Amino acid sequence: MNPTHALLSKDNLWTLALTAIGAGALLIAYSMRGFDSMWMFPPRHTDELFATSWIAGLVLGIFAGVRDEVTGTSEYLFHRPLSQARIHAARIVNCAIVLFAWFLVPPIAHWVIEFLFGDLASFGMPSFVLDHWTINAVMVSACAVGLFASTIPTRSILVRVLAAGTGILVMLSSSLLLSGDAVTATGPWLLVHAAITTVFLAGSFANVGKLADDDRPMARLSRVAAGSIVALTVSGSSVLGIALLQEEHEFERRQAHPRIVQTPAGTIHLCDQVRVPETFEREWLEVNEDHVRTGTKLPHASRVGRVWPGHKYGDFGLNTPRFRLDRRRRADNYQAAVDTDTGLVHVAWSAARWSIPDRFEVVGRSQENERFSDDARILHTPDAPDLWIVDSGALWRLRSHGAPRFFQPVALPDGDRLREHQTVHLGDRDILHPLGFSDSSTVALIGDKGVYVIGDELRAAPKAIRSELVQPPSLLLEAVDPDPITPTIAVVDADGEERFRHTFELQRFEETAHGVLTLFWSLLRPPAVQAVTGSFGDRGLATGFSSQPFLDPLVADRRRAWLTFCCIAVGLLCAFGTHRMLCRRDVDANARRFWIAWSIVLGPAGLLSAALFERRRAHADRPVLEIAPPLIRSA
Amino acid sequence: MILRIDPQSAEPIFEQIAFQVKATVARGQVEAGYKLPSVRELARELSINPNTVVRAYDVLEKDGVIVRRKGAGCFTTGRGSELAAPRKREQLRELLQRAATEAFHLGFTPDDIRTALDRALERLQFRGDETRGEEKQENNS
Amino acid sequence: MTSAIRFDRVHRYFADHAVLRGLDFTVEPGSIFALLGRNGAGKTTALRILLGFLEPHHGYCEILGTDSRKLSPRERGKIAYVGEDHRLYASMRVREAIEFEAGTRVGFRRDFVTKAIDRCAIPLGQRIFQLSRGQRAQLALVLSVGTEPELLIFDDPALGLDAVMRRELLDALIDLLAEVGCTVLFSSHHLHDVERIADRVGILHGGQLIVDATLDDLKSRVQRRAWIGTGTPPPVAGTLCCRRRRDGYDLTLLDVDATTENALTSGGAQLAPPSTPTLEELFLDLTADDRSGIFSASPSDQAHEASA
Repeated sequence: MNPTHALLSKDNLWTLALTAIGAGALLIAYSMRGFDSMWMFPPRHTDELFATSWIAGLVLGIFAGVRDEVTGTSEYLFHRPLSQARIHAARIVNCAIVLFAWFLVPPIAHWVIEFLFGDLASFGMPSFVLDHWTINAVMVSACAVGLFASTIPTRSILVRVLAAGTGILVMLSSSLLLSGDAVTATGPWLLVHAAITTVFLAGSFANVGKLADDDRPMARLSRVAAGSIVALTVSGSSVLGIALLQEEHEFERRQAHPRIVQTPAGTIHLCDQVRVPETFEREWLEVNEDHVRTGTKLPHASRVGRVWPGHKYGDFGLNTPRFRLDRRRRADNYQAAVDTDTGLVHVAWSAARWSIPDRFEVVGRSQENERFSDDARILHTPDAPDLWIVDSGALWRLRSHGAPRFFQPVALPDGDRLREHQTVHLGDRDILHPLGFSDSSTVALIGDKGVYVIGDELRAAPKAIRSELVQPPSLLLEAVDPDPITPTIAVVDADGEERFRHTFELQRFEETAHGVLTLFWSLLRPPAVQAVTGSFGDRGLATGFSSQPFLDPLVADRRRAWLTFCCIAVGLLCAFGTHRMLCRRDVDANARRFWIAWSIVLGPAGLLSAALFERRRAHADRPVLEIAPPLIRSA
Repeated sequence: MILRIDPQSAEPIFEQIAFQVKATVARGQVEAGYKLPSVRELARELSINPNTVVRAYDVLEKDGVIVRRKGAGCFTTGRGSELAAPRKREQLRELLQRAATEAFHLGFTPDDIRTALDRALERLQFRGDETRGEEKQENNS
Repeated sequence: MTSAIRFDRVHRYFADHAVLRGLDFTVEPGSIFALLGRNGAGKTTALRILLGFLEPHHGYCEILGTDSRKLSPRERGKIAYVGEDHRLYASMRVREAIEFEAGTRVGFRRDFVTKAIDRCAIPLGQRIFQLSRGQRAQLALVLSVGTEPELLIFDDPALGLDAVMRRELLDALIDLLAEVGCTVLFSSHHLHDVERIADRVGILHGGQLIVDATLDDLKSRVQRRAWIGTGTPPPVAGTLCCRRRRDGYDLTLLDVDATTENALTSGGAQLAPPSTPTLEELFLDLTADDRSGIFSASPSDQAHEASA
């Protein structure tokens, strides 16, 4: 038996156990969502499947790293004519085996179930396994994070937990990074996770072979790797916390004052929230002559958010279906989505709602199965068995049963072209089904010449529906500068001319207090990030704290240069504090320089991480003692 | 050859072994050319460090009591009784000193002690060589 | 010839407590060195530093000619180590453990080890957590010497074993030494076994060696003598220990000569003939505090009694 085999087989027991447990958990998670999801609608970051796979990977990595420590056999293993790197490599191979087993189990289970209970779906084809990789990429990188965190040579559990916590931040950030038009964007997702895996595996190799010793400083390489990761984690988490706080303050500030709102009818009103004396509740009142605030400072407008443009995933050119973000259309008997690359529609037909789909197909329009354009939208038609799509003003239809299996054009009365479609909420009245229980909303198609509804067939819309339609407003309320503290709004008419513009200031005490606190929290953000954010102008980066927690809207778009400089000053102050603290703890110069650098870059997070990592006990200068010769000594 | 050691005695273990071998040879209990146990066997038997056995055998070899033959082992040469004698005399001296002291504390006079000693000696049979003796049969007194 | 092990003024602290305060001794190749000391004296710490599991704060530790902090894997292969708890992979079967050792160590003699395990009456199919403590200790020992090590380091190998097991362990060690001739460093609490087998003894007390001598030297140079006289015995050079007895004192003395004897017997005091303390007695003399016993009255009670 050679060393590799021996090292691998010593861990047979846990390899098997974790494979079984993890596979079980994954199967349960998959079955909750439906196995078809593996092929067609890959998960988003809030999904339980995502969470299961991430936790499974992390647990695997942590287990592999601490296994020998927990059973007390690390010295037994260490004291062997094998390099630590080799032992660690065997651990990684074991993890890889488990991950591979986890990769195989769900598809095999799906095929088995399909084979036993239904048709082999077209989506079961091997090419679609690529989508399955989105989950497995998560497991692999989580495993690498766990392995790195659990092998850091320190006795401090806190440090290891923080390092493992990086994984959460990484997942969140990568999700944020990848949000945008396409749901899957598998290519970039895989690349990001491959990068994470590589970085953390390399870091774990830097960890092994170093001694965990409370009374001696950490090995230089481990400090650099683990210290950086922990510093980034502390910084990232603190930024998220700060963003949350700032969001709170902003919310409170907004509650404290009147608003300009645009009603569905299109009119713009000034409204004030007034406390009703008897009940002490707040009520919205329209402001009129009796109740108008005088002075040059006018009330505030409601915030209008903007979506960050996002990446163009076509740049990566990897061939997987990407579905439009605008929700998977789900009716009683089908789920459908448009693949943004091929322009074809993926449909899963089932006998009834919530049942397992029994037919899958990928269809286009006309006999040639041509692609739909990028503007194609699937119409949600409750109680209608067929699938309707509107594309470039034309209407198409795919029958649920029978030939032909492609979308056919539907002729509109008088050759009408469709301009838009709206979802109309009907409340209690339901014109289409007076006796049945159905959705209280329906889709109205608005053409140049008329309004239509779709059910079993295309019909002209009844008056009740037409009266509920929303007119395009003649005036548009825009947020010209969505600054969290002092935003600027404008009212623009249909010709694009600006009728009114205003920048809002902090007026009342409450607003000022919240505004100041929001500014204060920004000071604690990482100076380096603030500096970068503050240098880019006119990019529309400032969208709000919750959607972009890492980029501070207060300094983005070149606002408030003074705040950026203050942040940098805070960073320098922290660096000075770090220097003093580390000198007091007798830390050597190299380590000091390392942490000072991070303090300059990350501000308070660097200081905190340094405090966590470099304990006095490890660095204290121990005295050399007088040695008395033994009482009895032989030559 | 029966060898016993007392790890707690003041005498180093290797010396105890060497002395006992010499004493055995001196008593004529083994003939020349007798094969001593191997280092391993003896160490095992006495539960001691093989190094100690090696040291004992080194001393014996140096004193000419045994000879080492490569591949065969250690064998007695038959010589060595005279080297054991001073040591044995010292032991005798100690023995008698102790007995005399004890008897003295018990309250016996020197004459009593001498009488008792004579009687004890009568029980033993001495050959011409003063360093050998055997127990007499228990038929006279 | 370089020494097999060398501790050069090694200091090691835990928090602010100095466990090793300048440990300094050498072990020559081919010899057996016993490291003795009370519980918590630092024996395990010293051994862990030797094997590179801990780093000293000051000083230097050398093993087989290499700095203990920089032991290469190949050099580790020449050292056999068994810790106090005889730790093995508890879930493995005995034969799997043999295979593991065979796979991860160069020159592992599988047949020799299997035979030795048979002789210990340990079934090959049994899982290690099912073995008794003694069997586990034997197994750990046999596995560790499965290659032909140059150096054996055992931390209290007989811990928790009964007398029979201890003797078997000792015999196994002797067999091995006779066959291979390696250097041994071990720590133990069973001083009777140490007396049989060690060449050289080190007693660790207060973080330093108070004794670093061959057993033969200890036997020849250390004496115990009862001193009977009025007052307390005069302080002479070489007094290792002085314990009060009911009448007189027990003195443990080093390198007694005529002048020392004269000094002690001055003023009409009497000195009994010398006896050689056993290793255990010497150990107790040097490391135990002179207390009257944990169940006896406290000093204040005794004073009260005396005055009453």
